[in-house]
Amino acid sequence: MVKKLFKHEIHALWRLMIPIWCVLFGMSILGRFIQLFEQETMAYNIISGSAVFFYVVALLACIVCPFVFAITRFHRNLFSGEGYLTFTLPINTNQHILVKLVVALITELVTLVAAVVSVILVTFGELTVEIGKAIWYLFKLSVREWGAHMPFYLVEAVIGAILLLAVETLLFYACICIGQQSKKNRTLAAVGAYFGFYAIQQAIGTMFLLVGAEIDWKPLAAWAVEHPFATVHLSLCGGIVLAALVGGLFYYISHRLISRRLNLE
Amino acid sequence: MRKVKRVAALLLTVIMCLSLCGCQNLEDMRAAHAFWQEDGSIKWNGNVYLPLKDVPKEMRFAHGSSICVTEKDVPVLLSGIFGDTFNADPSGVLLCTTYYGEDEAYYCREDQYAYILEYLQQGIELNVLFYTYWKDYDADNPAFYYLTEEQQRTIGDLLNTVQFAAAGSDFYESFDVDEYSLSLSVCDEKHWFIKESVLEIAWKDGKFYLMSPEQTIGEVPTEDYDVLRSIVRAYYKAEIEPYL
Repeated sequence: MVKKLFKHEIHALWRLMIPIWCVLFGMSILGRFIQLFEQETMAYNIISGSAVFFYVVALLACIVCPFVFAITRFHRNLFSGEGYLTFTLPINTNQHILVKLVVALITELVTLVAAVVSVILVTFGELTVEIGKAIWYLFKLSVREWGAHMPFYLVEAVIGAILLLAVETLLFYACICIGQQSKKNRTLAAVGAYFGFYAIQQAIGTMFLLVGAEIDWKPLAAWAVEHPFATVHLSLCGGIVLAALVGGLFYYISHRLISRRLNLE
Repeated sequence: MRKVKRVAALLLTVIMCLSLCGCQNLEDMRAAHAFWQEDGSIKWNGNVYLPLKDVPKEMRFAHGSSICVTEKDVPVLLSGIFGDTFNADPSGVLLCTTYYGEDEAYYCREDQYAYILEYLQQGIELNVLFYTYWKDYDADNPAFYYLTEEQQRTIGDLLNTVQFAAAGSDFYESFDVDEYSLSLSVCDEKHWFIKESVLEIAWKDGKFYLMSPEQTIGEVPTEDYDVLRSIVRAYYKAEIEPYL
């Protein structure tokens, strides 16, 4: 049943994303095509500048849209009229939230791949080859600099990036769930919950800063200077653990509110 | 299914055709990309440039364009980040570092090396007046106007006859120096080595002035106005007339 839910979630989200991806590829091919007529005239500069502008707008929209669609889908599928049908399925709350989260993450990652493909299309030809050479050179430079730590940094960075995406999505899920507890203006309440979470994060951050100002960091700083690679590993892993904890908290809030305090319209 | 295959084939053909498009910016970067050789020389555009010593320190270099010199494995897109920037003279014979002082370095094209060494040993005489201007507002690629013999003679005579005196701040504040003056520099006959800002020509309220680097000023006699107008004309082209 979870597989079927997964399939339908992907259909529902990708049905909205596919036209956006097509527009993105179209704008990148158009931008590249305009370069066929490259010349030092005002008319060409205006046209190519406009093409680049529209391509950038399409790229930005492409990056933002999966996020927006995933959150809208979460709200509509669980808390609107559709929710009556959704919660009749033989699937528990955990599975509902996880499937939506995983589909949202997959869509965002596929969108990232689409963005990379669009950049390749807009620079297709010698420029793509040169960009590839530049990336390969930077990679070799990093390997020379960091040695055996490089693959681990990459893995940690990728895990951290995916976790951050998941945490942001779960934050919005938690805000929507909190908003649903309000009798009126549920959307406004969800926005209020978002600012509330932001204020709490800022307050906790400030508290740590004040406590940190009292601590003597010199031994730690000296250790960090002597062990730079380990310092980076600890920072990345620490970030991953913190993101996992925060994401876990948001997940718990969403799960608790959906399973115990669901209030469909 | 056949329709899908045809559309896919058409799309792939269009995309492959796009690879035929060039990129002017990339071509420009390649033209300005040079490489360090193992023996410390530079290779640029198929020519080898050897280090040049004993260039008089007080002289500067008249450059026409900038190049980036990198190791051989650095790709062209990263040449500006991982390379050393050099100025090249308009004829492409001389290169020099963009910074001046103790660490400045000159390089000369291999086929002109012996000639340049002899030229330096004879002593470089700076006797050609010129000024820099930007035809297309491109600060990296200036154009140079070299004064004609008649114009040079006139300036030389004026330097001997004009009475220079300290000008008060009121004079400078009364007009926009950037818009109503131009700076003359001097170079050798090959237009390679220069000394910047040796004299300034200024104009205000229909009068011409000469300003020295020491901030003294002298009024030019009216009989020389035509020659000075011809000097500044290249700077502003036809637009100079309303300002004179």
